[in-house]
Amino acid sequence: MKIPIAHKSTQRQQRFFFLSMIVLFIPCMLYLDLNYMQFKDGLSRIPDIVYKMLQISFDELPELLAELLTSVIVAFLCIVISVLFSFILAFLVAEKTTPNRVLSNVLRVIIVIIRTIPTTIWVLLAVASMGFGPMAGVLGLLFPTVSFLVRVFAAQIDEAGKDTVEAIKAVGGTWWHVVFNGVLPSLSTTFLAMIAFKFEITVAETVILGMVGAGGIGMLLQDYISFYEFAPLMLGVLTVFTTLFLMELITNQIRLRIGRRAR
Amino acid sequence: MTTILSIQQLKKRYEGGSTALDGIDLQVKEKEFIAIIGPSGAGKSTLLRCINRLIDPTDGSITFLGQRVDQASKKQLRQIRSQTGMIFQHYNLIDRLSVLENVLHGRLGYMSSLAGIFNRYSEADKKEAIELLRKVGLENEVYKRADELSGGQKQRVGVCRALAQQPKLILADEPIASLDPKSSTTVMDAIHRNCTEQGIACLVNLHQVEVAKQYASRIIAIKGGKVVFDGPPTQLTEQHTYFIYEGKEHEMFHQTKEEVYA
Amino acid sequence: MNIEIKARQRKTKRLLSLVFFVAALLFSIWYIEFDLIGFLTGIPIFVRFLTVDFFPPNVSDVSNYVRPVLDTLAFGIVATFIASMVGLIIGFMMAHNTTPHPAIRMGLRGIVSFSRNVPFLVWASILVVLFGVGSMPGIFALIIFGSGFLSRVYAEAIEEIDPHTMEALDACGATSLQKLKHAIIPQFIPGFISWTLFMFEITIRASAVLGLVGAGGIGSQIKQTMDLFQYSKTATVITIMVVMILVVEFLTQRIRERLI
Repeated sequence: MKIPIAHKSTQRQQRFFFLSMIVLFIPCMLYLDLNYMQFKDGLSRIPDIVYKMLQISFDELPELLAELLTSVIVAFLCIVISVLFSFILAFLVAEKTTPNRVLSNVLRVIIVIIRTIPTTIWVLLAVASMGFGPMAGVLGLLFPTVSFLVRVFAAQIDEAGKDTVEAIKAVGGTWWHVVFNGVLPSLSTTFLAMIAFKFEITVAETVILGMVGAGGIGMLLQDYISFYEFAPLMLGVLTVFTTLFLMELITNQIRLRIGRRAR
Repeated sequence: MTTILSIQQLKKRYEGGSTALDGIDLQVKEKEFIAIIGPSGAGKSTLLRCINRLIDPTDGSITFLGQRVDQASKKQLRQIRSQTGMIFQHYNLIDRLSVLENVLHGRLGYMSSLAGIFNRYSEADKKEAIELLRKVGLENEVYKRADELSGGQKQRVGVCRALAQQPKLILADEPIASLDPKSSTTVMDAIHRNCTEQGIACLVNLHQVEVAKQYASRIIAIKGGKVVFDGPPTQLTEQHTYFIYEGKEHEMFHQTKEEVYA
Repeated sequence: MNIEIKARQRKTKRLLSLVFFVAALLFSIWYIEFDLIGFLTGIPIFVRFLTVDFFPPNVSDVSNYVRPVLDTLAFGIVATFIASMVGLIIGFMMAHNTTPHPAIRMGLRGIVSFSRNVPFLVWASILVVLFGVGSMPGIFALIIFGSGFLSRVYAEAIEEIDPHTMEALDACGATSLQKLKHAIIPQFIPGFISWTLFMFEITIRASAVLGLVGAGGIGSQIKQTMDLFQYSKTATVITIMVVMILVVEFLTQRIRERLI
């Protein structure tokens, strides 16, 4: 009889996780019934497409950049409008500052539902309501963005405002006093960091929104794909990649700086 | 008695120019229990880590059981390390593994790479490890996860891991600096008793002079990367200690004060 | 004196950023011909559209949606599994404390950054061209995106492992493979489980979107019903999707609490 050495329940739980990964994977793989011929056909098309992609030319660059700017602007306007809305809503939702508990809870449930529906679906709905174009993009993004910002703002208010809110309430301050004198001054830097973070995510989303009809660079990419124009597609993908990569670098810098100033 | 460890003119300069060790000479004989004292930043930690080359020395020579540590190849170094146990201030256990697995890590140095990967510890090693745990009063914790233990218990596991290596020399780097006075006593007792019983030489970094005097057969004081005292505990006078801790007196009293209030 | 100058400098700096912000705002409004009044009146119209045209949800076709739901779940599981295998290999080669060579690390970081920073809807569209409409391009898009994502977060989880514990095994004379097995893997497992579950959540959300470019999953039902203006059916599909996402999130959260 060998002496066991492991911690039983940790080992059991880990085995359970890995086993269920495999047990789930195999039937799902069989269920999906991926066609090997289709796979082979696809692979055989790769060299041709890669060859076409490498015929890169910069003729379409101005057009791409113009549409890219549209995408960024859609994100920017959406963030600006969302911040205005979510500012007010956050104070209604946050436990410490809400004028009414029931209202706060109803809003929270709505936020969860809005957040669960993917952004792209929102834009699709907005396009159906408002018609094609960048404005539909802003409208569609508005709902998920507001719900995200309200959630994080409210959490921050509850986190940071504990003492100040009580102090102001203790000396008989009104709701407006609490909001403008108590909570806002201590939160502006964290709010800015959150906004910068969300802006980065939103740009990543707006570059593809054109694919469902909301203007911007995604629309061009979708056109190139449907007309099999792989050379400009390659240029477009590179443009998108560069933009998102730079965004990531810049927002990282901003976050670091804000973090340092807050300390 | 034979000398097992011999250090000559050991120097260590870190990148950026700060000098941690500035020419250390040290001989360690069999079965010696040596306490190294000195203020924080004196180079105590660096000295211990140079002995098993967790840190590469800049200059000087280290000879352990007739082998040059500073010139050892990767394979030789592995052999040297498996013969020197080490105990750390923050225990350095693997939190999500069982206590027994943590102790058995001491045997890895003696196993082939593959046998180690597949947990092929011999039954004798396992029995020995459980026996070591029983001796330090952890017989009920053998199959607990390391993160379920208290600090004092974790450090006793750390001691068992070092002993499981069946080493000729144990290096203990501030083993009780993160512990309360009661656990400190248990841990120091465990280290001292086992080293004496099994004839293991031991180098312990301590910053509490009182503890050092209580356990050590010899005390070495380091200040500014140099040895400033080397002798039996009885010769360490108050004047010495004041000189050693000059400007950092509070470190010396830190623990003793706590003991008073405990 | 000095303080006064600094205060004035700060004031002008603030003013400048405000001016810059307003200018950017005006330029944006001009550039995309943004009609503020039209937009603001558009919001209530949109809300009315969502509440009136979509309600009550038409449940007559519910049996048709069983298959897309199962498809979506199977997508998620298969893509998560393969992406986690790829992610493990790349993650270990990319983390600075386990990489075989710094050059490999830099090269992989470039590739991973590319696969992550090209939106996965773009991947999906390109793959639709390659493999034709169906579930194959969807799966591959999820795998490409997921492998990039998981490689990065796995590598970060590996890099966060306390180097002191590695020092302890070094001191025992352990080889690097032994350190991998006895120090790195046990401490990496919580991160692995947590991120893999998170990836599963992402794939479920993503497969709702994949259908929009013809890459299968429940999203194709959304697109179909909307193209036919059957908004009450769309409402049913979206409800099913929301419930599915919430259930998956709830379950993964429970597993996470149990295992870590």
